[in-house]
Amino acid sequence: MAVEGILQAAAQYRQSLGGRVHEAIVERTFEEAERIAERAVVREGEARKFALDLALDRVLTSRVWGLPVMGLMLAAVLWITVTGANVPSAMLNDLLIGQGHPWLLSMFGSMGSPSWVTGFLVDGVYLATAWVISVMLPPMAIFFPLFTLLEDYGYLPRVSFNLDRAFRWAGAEGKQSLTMMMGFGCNAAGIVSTRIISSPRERLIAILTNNFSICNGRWPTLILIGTIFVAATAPPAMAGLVAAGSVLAIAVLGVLMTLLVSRVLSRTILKGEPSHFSLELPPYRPPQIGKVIVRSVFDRTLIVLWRAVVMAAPAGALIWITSNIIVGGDSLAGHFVGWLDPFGVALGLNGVILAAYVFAIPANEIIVPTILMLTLNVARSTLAQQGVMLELDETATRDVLVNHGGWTLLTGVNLMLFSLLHNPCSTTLMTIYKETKSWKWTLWSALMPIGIGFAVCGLVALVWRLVA
Amino acid sequence: MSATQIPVGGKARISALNMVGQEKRRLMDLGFVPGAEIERVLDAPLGGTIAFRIRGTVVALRDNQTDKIEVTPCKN
Amino acid sequence: MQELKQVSKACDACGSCSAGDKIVPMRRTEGSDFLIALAGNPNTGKSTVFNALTGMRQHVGNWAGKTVVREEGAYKFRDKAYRLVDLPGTYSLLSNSVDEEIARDFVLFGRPDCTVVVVDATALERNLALVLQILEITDRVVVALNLMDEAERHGMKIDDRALARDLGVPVVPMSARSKKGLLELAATVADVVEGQVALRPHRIAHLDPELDKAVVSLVREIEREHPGILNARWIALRLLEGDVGVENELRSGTLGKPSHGTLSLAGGQ
Repeated sequence: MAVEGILQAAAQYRQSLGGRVHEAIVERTFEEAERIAERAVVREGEARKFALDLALDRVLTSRVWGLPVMGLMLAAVLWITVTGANVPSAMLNDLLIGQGHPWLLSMFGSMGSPSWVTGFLVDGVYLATAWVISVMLPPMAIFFPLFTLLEDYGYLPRVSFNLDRAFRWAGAEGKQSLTMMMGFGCNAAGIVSTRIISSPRERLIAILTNNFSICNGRWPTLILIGTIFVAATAPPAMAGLVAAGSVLAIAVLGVLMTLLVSRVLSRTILKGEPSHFSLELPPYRPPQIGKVIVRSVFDRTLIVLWRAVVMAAPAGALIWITSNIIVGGDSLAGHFVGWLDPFGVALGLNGVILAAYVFAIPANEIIVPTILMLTLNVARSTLAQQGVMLELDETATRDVLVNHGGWTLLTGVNLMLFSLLHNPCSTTLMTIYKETKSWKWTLWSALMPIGIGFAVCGLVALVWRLVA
Repeated sequence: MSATQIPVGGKARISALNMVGQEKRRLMDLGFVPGAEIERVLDAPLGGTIAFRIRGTVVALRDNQTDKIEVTPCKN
Repeated sequence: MQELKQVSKACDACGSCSAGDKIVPMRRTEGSDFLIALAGNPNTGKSTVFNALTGMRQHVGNWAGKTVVREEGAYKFRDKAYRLVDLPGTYSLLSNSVDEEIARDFVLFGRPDCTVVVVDATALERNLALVLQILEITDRVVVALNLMDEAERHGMKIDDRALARDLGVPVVPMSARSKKGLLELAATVADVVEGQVALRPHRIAHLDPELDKAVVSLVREIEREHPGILNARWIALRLLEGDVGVENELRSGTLGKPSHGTLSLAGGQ
């Protein structure tokens, strides 16, 4: 066949040319490129060229300053997001829930709608959506622009560079550090960002471990629990610091888990050839700050709104329904909680928490109000109407959880751990399926973290009860 | 000597790439070609990864690769 | 270079550029007159150029390897519709990573009417290697010399005329981020696809008579087997290198088949 003839002829020539054809061609190409570039570039200010960049890099990657600066950057981004989101979140909460909720109730009432319709739509669907918007929108609108600015400026490859050794130990590609960082904003976005990893095996490792990056949706839970339980054990002057410290500790634990689990995966079920690492450190390019911020805020707002409507609304509906259908003397939700309770307590948690996590699969943000609501329902407290998610201030929350729910420090600590080590939210799972096109791996990404969560919480509970 | 042994801030000229296949092609695409001048500009704080200036760009490689890049030092 | 001067003189004299010429992003990618490929190293602002021309909003980030899918968009210029394909950023067309195969197959067999290579002015040497490779494949190339603002910031000055002279194809200095040079780019692309610009692409002389002999002989064989095939010389060189991808394509008969449907009216080279 003529084609084989061509291939054979080529092979013969290849041999007689000594097999260095590719090298020779590439070398010549670069020689020419060098020559032409030389003639085109008028080397003014050669010394100035990149000198500043290099000086900056010397600091950002230095043995002494490199990692601390990174830690500080992360802490700064977290801090700005958290404190910056406080006021807008409170305002949104006030507007949508404080005012919006009663207004809708009265409007429905005046239309003469049956109470179950009002309950379903206003207490269930609307409240969940409103909650997600007020809790999620401000932090997302702050974190992502910040992250994008760092990205555009060119800092992120330096982080990759600094952490590469750790990722090499984990058997992972250096770029996984970037996808991990993206996950701190939103895990679904983190999954999409794994496209930059070319090797499918290493990409999968990045996807499976992305959930160990604590996304924006989980911070409020961590901060609240850290404040009312962990910080409560410290002297008041230190409370703020201890709370922040506990949250940071969980975040760092997440990074360590990413590395550890990656290492295990790369040696067991995802074994294979490590790809050849190369990373370009581009010159620093000051971004057009205004433009970036506006675009990022706009994009993020749309995404949060979409997610609130598509994910949170059904969750709210489900919570309301199960809390209001009474069977055998208790609501469906109440039965569910009771059924989960023994398992929950064994894990150092309780049935309410586990049930809340099931309801919160669509969106991590609704955990706290769901927990409060379920606790009060189970305790038959008059403070709660059936199926209405609510929000209280810190002292009231602590009061409810401890006195009505029987929470202890162990519960608080384990909740923080579990919030790190549980299944990804449904948006993320959907994204994983879209990106991997594999049911098997999507299932893995759901079950592996929660399996680890059960194990860790169970262990902590065991040791705690033995020691305390 | 290998590229790993270039002192920080030092320059050298590549004399050979002791590797085959994809690995070699990838490096050559980035400009690491016999005859090219490279400068070791940065070391990662945890070690193991080195950044070189090559053809006006900065590229980082792991030392298991740079060990295989043969160079001759440049007299500064 | 009379022809090139003709273009720039026309540009200078033509008052209508700023008056009438506008790049209008188009929604639909159906019904386009010309197909333009957008190639370049990673991290050269290629996506910024793409976004600016098509009005689309791919995310752009300052680290290599962000665009990994082939994005398509369209724009209208001087009453003609241009379909623009943003290829993944690649360092070369010769390695066998997926990105590079996508880019290379498109430039080779997708029959773009013009290939715009976005080049980072601050890293000219490395970027030119890709340009030279592309020039081995097609004549219709426009070099978009991007990030000129960055080059200036670092104290570099680039003589784009000398560059155009040496490369034999038009070079358009730009700063896509600040929207500078876009009209010139669209105008130059328009001129190239309409055949208004003489192109004398720089071809690398390999200086090895044995290699040349082998190439000539292989080209003859290839053209006999696939009459009318474009880029026989390029294929011959790849076969001599032992490029597995090209070998497989030759065997399976998919060589020379464009990987997409094109409405291009003009042919390849």
